[in-house]
Formats: sequence, structure tokens, C-alpha cells
Amino acid sequence: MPGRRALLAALLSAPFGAEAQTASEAQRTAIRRAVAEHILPRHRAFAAAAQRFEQATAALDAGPDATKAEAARTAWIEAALAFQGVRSLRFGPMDAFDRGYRLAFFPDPRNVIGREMADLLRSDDPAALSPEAFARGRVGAQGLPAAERLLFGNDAQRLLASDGAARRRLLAAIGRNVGSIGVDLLDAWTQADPPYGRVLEGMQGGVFRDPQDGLVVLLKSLHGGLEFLAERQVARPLGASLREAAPPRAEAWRSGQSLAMVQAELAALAELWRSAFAPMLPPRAAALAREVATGFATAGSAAARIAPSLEVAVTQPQGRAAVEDLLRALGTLRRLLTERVAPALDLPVGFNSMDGD
Amino acid sequence: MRGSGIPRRAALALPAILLHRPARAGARAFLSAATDHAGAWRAAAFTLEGAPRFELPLPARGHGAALSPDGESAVVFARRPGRFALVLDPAEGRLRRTIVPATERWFCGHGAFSADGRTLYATEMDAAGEGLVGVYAAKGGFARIGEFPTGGADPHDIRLAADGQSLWVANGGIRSDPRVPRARLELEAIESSLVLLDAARGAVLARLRLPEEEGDLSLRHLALGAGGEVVVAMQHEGPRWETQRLVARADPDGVGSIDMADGVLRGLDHYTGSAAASLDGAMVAVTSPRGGRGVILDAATGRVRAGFALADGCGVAPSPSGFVVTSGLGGAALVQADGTQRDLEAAWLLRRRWDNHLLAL
Repeated sequence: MPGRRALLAALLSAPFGAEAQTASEAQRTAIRRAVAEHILPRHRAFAAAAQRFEQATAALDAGPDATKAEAARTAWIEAALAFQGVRSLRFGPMDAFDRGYRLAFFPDPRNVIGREMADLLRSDDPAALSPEAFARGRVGAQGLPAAERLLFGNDAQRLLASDGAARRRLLAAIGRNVGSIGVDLLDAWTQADPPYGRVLEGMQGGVFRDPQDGLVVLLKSLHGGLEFLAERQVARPLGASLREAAPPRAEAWRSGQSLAMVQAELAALAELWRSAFAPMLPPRAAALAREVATGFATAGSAAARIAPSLEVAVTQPQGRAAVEDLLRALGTLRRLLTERVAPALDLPVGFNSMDGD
Repeated sequence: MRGSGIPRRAALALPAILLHRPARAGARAFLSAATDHAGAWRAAAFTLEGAPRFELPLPARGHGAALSPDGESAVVFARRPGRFALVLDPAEGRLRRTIVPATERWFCGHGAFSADGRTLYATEMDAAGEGLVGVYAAKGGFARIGEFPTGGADPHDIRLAADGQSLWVANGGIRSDPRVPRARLELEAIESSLVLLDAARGAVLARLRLPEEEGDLSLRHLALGAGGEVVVAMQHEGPRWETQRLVARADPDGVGSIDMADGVLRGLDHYTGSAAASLDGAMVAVTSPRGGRGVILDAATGRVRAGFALADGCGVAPSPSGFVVTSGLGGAALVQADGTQRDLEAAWLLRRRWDNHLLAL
């Protein structure tokens, strides 16, 4: 009998109106899709890669040889690429304890990383490398960019040298740190009570009051990720002209992984779009959905035309054209999100704050 | 062209849409670029009561606007890198003329009239991203009659100085390439400056910069106080963990950032987007859409008098009782000098998303 429960439900929903509640449920569903199809798999992948990196750096520290050094390099690349899958989600777990900065202190125009690493290597103090002290210590030396310098930088050979023990110890400390941040991030999304996906859906007294707040954060993450990708990861080495190209401003020029990282992040952002937002667009916005999908495809094919690497491409006219095409596509995507997607989804994301001047 | 769904030629050929029961011309009104929920760009004007005065389709996203001293012409500029500026009648919104930039020149979103109204100055950039002031004969069909360099990249806001003979121009200093719209290059090498240019010949009378430790600040938007001082609204492009001041004050002898309480500064979230002086020039309001907040300062001392809150609030213009502030989420608020505020109650205002700047007509 559709008696008391239906009546109760009607009474409860009455103050909000049926339409608002439907919208709210659609937003909750979108958050759950994003968590299940994007956020959780990406965090699992990063936690696993970070752990393999921790193991590889520990093995190199325990018994240095060329094979283990090569294994640590491979593990670094896998961890750095997996990090692209989660780096744009800069709220909640990634924001807590400065985890995002501790994993990747980038960009670093003042060479904070180099100075902090030099300090740590000079003192070679075991107390400073203990997991607790290291995690609370210098932020620049804690993450993947510092490890990249040790593994791929000019002095990478010294990792295996007789006087390289301090370098190996620092690398292992970074490995432990990255490994445990990977686990902590995953825990926040899976083991915490409540898991962060539930927080995103909104609750009384929570960081987010309702699903709309959580979905806004995801849209800002998508937009912010596209902006960071364009301005910090791609435009930085490009410079304003051929003469001003600066390959060492690419994020991972030492390992040669800058382009692969750009592509990995682009793929992750496209996945966030497909899981959370694309299914929410109403049928009347089908053209907009196609435009965004085309935007991601155009960005992907422009990135694929960048050869042989981001660092080399920015120094050649043809390569620069491909890099500029990528920037244009990323710019189009950002514009679509702020100017058309946010209003189409009725999300209060303003174009003044997202794309001001 | 994006978003509007109206082909550019058609958009420009359309007459201004006079809205139902248009407000009486002559009543105080405000002009801004805006969009509706379908994403169609327009210039729109409304009165202090929130009643619509006119709407005019724009070929693409607009930005700032300038009013001639006699109040007879308003010019709405495209957002940078912009390919149009529209001259319109501020009473009814009729399009009088479309200014197309010169070859290899792009509008940067702002302009200013000379004291006699005979000349329009527009910030522009060249293909290398270097700044120029384009000079137009306002009484001669807005023909482009000259240009002079601003001495920096990314020129943005421009104001006629108190002497009526020189121009303040903010060189934002963020490198960009007009052929790769909106991508900001070399964000870590900002070279921002505030220049005072001789309006007749373009000679640089003063070139002011913040100290090196504030090198991550981009000086972008300007308001002129009663004493001729310039209040500068800035953006911080450095690391998020740094806290930097976001408003500066300048006169021809120098520029210096204004200290504010930590809480106030945090509320502005590294970014201020617009500035406007009060009618008497004693106060300046600065908005931060990112923080959803704004502050009202004493123009003479830089002291913060009051704060206000409006989500995505950016456009700001003086009103008889204080300021009008518009929101990119729709709607507008009246803010008094002491920070008390109330929403402008008008459904139509809520149906438009108001872009960065608001001009009092």
C-alpha cells in the first residue's frame, strides 16, 4: 500500500520541491559515477605504483647495482605517470597535509628542490630521513621531482658510486614518503569513515552541504587541471617565441617523461569528464557534449603530434605548432566548461572566478 | 566565434533589443558585457532599480567599456585578444559603429576617452604580445590615427590621469600569444608595470614597478581617486602557499602595495578582478570573484573601510549610495560605503551572467 511512507516522503520533499530533489539526486549519481569509474581506480593505480617505487628505491639502497638502479628508474616513471591520474583532484585528501605539494613541488622557479636536497645530502642525517621527520620536513625534497633528479639528473651516476650512499638513502626516504602518501590517499577514499566520496555528496555539518557543492569541486578540479596542464606543464617550456623556448622548464626533462605525463593527465581529465559530467548533460545539450568530446579528442591528437619529445618540439617550428595546437584545444575546453557546461548543468561556477582577466 | 550561435555578421546587423518597458533614458544606468544561460554574448544595461535598459548582441565575449565625457558614446571592448570594439549610444544601445583592430593588432579589453572626448585610447597587443595604445579619432568615425608602445607585455586597464593630459596603463606583464588565445606563457617571469604616458605623444612619463619580492603580482585594473591617486587591483600568479598583497596605490612618484589584515587578504584568494572609484573619488571598491568578496578602501590612505560578499562578484561601478557589484552567477548587489549590502531585486538581472566589468553610464 502506498500509504504512510509515500506520504512521509512527500512531506519531507515538499519544502525543496520535486525539481530540486531530482537535480540533487542527479548530482549525487554523478559524484558516485566519478568516484567509482575515475577516482577510485586512479587512486588504486597510484597507490600501487607508489608502493612499487618504494620497494625499488629500498632495494637500490640495500644493494646498489645497475639493475636495481634501472628498476628504480622504471618504477619512478610508472609512479609519475600514475600520479597524473590523481593530481588534478586537489581538494580533500590531496589538500590535507599538503600531500599534493609533497608529491610534486612543481613549478619550482626558485629551485627550492635543489637547495633542500643539497641541505639534506650535506647533513646526511638519519634522523631527518626518518619517515615522520621527512614527511614533516622540507616539502620540495619529499616528492617525485626530487627523486627524478637523483635518478635521472646529471649526477645520476653517483647513485651507484662508493660515495653515493647519502643519495641512495635520500632516494629511499622519498620512496617511503611517496609510498605512504599513496596509501593514505587511497585510504581516505576507501577506508575512512566516512570515505571521502560520501563527504563529496554533502552532509550536515560536512565540508559540503549537498551534492551540488561536491560536484562544483569536481568541475573546478577539471577546469583547474586543464589550466595547470596548459599553463604550467605545456606553455612553460614553449615560451613566448622560438628564441625564448626553455626545454628545462618542462616538468620532467631529466627523465624525458614530460610529454607522457601531459598525455596521461589529459587522459585522466577526459575520464573525469566522461564519468561525472558528460552523462549529466540533458538531451538538448547534445551539441555541447559533442563539442567537449571533440575538444578532448583534438587535444589528444595534438599531443600525439608533438615529437620526439616536448623538450625538443618547443625548439623547432613544426614542433611548436603542435604544442600551440594543444594549447588552443585546452583553451577551448576551458572556455566550454566555464561558459557553457556550468550553466547547462545549472552549477554555480562563475566565469569571473574561473576565467577572469 | 564561439558560444553565441549567431553568425558574426548577423549579430552586428541586429538592432539593439529594447526591452519591455525600457527604463527612462537619463536615469542612472550601468553597462556590462554579459551572457545568458544559453551562452549568447551581449552588452546589457540596467538601471539602479535593476530594470533593463537595453541589450545588444556581441560577436564574442566582451570585457571592459568606456564612456565619452559628454555621455554621448559608450565603447564596449572585446575580451583579449579581441577583434572588435563596438561604439554604441548609451541611452538606447543602438550600435553606431564597429571598430576593427589594425592588422596584427588585438584589443586587450579596455579603453579610455580623452578629456575633450575627441580621442579614444585602447590597450592593444601586437603579434609578439607587446603592448600598445591604439589611438582613435572619436569625432572622426573612430579612425585609427596612431599608436604608441606601453613599454611592456599584456597591457590591460587604461585610465585618463587627473591632469587630463596623460594616461595610466597597467602592463599586466604576463606573456601571451594572440594566435594561441588565453594561454598565458611564462607565468613565472611576469614583468608587470604601471606606466604614465603622455597622451599626445606617448612619451613614457613614469614607469613604476613593485619590488622584486612582489614580482609574482600582475598589475591589471585601475581606479582613480579624488586626489589623482591610482588604486591598482592585482592578481597573484606565484605559489598558492605564499600570501601576497593584492591592491596597490600609485602616483607618478611610485607604486606600493597596500597591507591588509590576513583574513581580508585570504578572502580575496590571490585574485582581484575589478576596481572602481566612488562618485566623489574618496573610496575605491575592489572585487575578488574567486574569493566571492570585495573590499572598500579609502583612496587617499589605502585603509580598508569595509568588506562585502558576492559569489563570483566582479563588475563594480559607483552609485549614489556606494557601489553596484555584479555577479557572474547572475544578479547584482548594492553595496554602501560601510559594506552593508542588499541584492538588486530583479528577475532579469538574475537571468544574465555578468562579465568582469561594469560601467556607470
